[in-house]
Amino acid sequence: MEALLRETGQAPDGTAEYRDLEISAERITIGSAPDRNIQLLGKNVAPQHAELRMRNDARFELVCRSGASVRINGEQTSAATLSPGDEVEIGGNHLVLFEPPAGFDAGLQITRDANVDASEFERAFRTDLNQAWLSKRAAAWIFSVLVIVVAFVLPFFLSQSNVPEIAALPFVPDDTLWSSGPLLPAHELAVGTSCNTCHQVPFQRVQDDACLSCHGRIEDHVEQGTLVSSTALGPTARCASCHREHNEPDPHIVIRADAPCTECHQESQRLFADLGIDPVDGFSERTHPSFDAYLYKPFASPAGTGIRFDWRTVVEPVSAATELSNLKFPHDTHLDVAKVMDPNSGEALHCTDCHRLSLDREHFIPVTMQAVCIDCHELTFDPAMPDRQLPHGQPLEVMLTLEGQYLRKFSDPAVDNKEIRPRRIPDRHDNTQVCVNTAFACAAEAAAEDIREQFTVRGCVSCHIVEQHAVPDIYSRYQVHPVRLAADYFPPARFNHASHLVMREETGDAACAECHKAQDSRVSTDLLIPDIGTCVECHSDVRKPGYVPLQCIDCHAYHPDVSRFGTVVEADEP
Amino acid sequence: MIHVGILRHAGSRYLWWGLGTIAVSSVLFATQSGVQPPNGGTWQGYVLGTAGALLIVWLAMLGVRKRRYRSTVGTVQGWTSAHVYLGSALLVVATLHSAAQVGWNVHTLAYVLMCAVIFSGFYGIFTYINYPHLLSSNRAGLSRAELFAELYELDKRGRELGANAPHDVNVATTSSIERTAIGGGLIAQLFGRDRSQFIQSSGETGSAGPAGNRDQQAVIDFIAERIPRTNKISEAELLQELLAVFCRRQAILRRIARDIRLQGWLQVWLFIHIPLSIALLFALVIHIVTTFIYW
Repeated sequence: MEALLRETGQAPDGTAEYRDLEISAERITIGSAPDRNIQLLGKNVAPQHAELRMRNDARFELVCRSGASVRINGEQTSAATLSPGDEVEIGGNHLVLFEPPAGFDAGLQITRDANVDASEFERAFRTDLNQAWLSKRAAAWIFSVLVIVVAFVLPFFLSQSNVPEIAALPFVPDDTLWSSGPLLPAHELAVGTSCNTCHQVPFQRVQDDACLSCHGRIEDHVEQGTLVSSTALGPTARCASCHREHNEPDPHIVIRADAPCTECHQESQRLFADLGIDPVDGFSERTHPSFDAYLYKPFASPAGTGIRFDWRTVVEPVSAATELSNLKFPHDTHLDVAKVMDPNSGEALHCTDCHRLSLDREHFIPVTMQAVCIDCHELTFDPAMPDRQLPHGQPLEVMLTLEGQYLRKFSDPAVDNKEIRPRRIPDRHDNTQVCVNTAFACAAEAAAEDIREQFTVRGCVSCHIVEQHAVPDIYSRYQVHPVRLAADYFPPARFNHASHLVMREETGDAACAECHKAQDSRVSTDLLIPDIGTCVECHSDVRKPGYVPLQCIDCHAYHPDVSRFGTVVEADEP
Repeated sequence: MIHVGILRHAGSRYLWWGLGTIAVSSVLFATQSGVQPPNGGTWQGYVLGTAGALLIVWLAMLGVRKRRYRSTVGTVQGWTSAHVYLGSALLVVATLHSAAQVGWNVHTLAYVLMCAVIFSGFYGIFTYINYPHLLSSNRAGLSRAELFAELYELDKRGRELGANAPHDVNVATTSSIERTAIGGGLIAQLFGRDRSQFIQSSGETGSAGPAGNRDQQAVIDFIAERIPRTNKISEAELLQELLAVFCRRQAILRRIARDIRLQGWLQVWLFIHIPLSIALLFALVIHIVTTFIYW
């Protein structure tokens, strides 16, 4: 609309004066803001106070912004329809509609409030951030509600109610937002995002039952009954004392530090008084006890015409212990190339020719006659049939085999040589005996002589202890002491042989010899197992130059593999 | 000077408190070893977390203390000094508590909110140090109300002079007074955007329309151009006086605009600092509660 704004005022000489302004606008805006068509100042004038629009019937509609009001012809209102002659008062300013002159749609006479001062003038402008759309209070509300809803209310609701379809939606905040760090990948695979799998009761620490629901087969540190009755310790610690989840950045769930172990074990005399466990406070000769070896020893007792051997585990300090395997085996001879050489290469034997590391990298494949010794120590007995060997480990079968050999010799018409085998009588060259008796008698005589030699002079007795009993029955006369070799000298401990195949500059046999002094061992009773003094040459419980740090759990398992305690020995195979 | 008062209050006593807090926290953090990697779950982590939470609550109490004019628990200046130094120390305490482990979780949310609050506070200290003398030198010893009063008088004088000036000059000067933009919204206040306009009539066609009047330069140019073209000395004198009024107006308006801008930057950080502080309090409670819900 085209409007004529006529402002009235006073000239400096006191006479009334008018100033006309023509505007063309869709609607006339009124307020204290400078961008209004009619800017009015005053205490009660809002920046955007009101608008005047033209109606079809040549009348006008005045609408106030929310909270603002005007006086129309003296009456307070916030909206009104105006006609020429109506007077509008806004905060002391007066607007009067008059009949518009030709060419105008509206005529508006403006008389400003003469009492307006500069402070109201300042108020017409938004000069403070508090007058902008910003509000600390509103922002605080918005941020706080957002935090509460997203970080607590929604996750709590989803954790308490079973609505997987909502939880499956992308970007829905669930209780994984409460996680303090990533799970072990295997656990994440198993439980996914279901926190309640482990956190079963709010405000209660994760209980062992939650762990055992999957890991039920794990052995506890000690048998509960034994521990509680015999120590001052009481129940063992929670799984979570050592296995901390959500514990980035350590990707391993096991606490490797010594402290949880030494906390109890340094006071073992007070805490495990009855169990006789030495105190441990680290890994040095001062803080860690010397090693005790688990040995398997025979205890002999008379039984019938012979001896019975009972094998029992004996734990002895490494420094004082001796092997008692009943095997005769000089390591020094076998490592001396002047005495023993590899039948294929002609070089000295290597440790690994007999001791082959098993897949667990800790233990060795059992050294047995059939697997190892037979490579050099053949049990041939019949020159006519060099492929035949005496059955190892079966004395009766050995005797019957020898008898069979002589029976065939003396009863077979095709065999011309009917000599009883030469007897080694010193200084007699003609020492052959020709069979003059029945074939069976000759065979029995020859076999008895050979059996005696095998068991007491040059065969079995080379490696075994043979007991000779004064009995007429030849089959009961010779008793070979059984052999048992330990498979694990330290069942409660762990040791990785593979990682020790290179030690400092040493490799091969020299690396083995760093710990096992086999080259100086003349008898098999030598225990070639090192004590702690050897370990601490390279290892320390603290990180320091020249040493490889070692923690308790590098050698000891908290959860013992009890199956290993019962199978500490291997029987020599037949 | 308020900033000197805050930072050097009581011989910078709280600076030493803050440094002491950092030192103790660092030693505590360093004792975490072996059993677990450093984090909020060790006993040292719990101690650091408790200290951090208490610090946050106490720091937020400044908002309460400031409003208790009758309180005798220290001076507001002392509280603010301690607020600044202990708030800075909190950054270290909380970082050590978290061991810099972050993730998409409520714990990091609390940490991030805390950082936003602290860094907005750092900006606040920067403005408190730098802006007061900029403000006073800009105002040249006047208050903002005095600047507005002078502008109001200049506007009145401008209108009076304009009324006696030729019609096009009257329209231009009156409209430039009416359409002078001061302050405005957030952007206008912080960046001094000036959308002032005036009605410029073209001499030849007699048509008139709004034109940009940024920094009031266009209307000044308009008046200045009219002076040489006038025939009467009295009119030239009038226009000369009008020009002087509008140049003076320009100078005052520049001071007002700069005052608004500086005041805006002096205050704007509080619109982040305070709302996020409140949100942080809730995030802190949630952080603690959820830690123990899923213990």
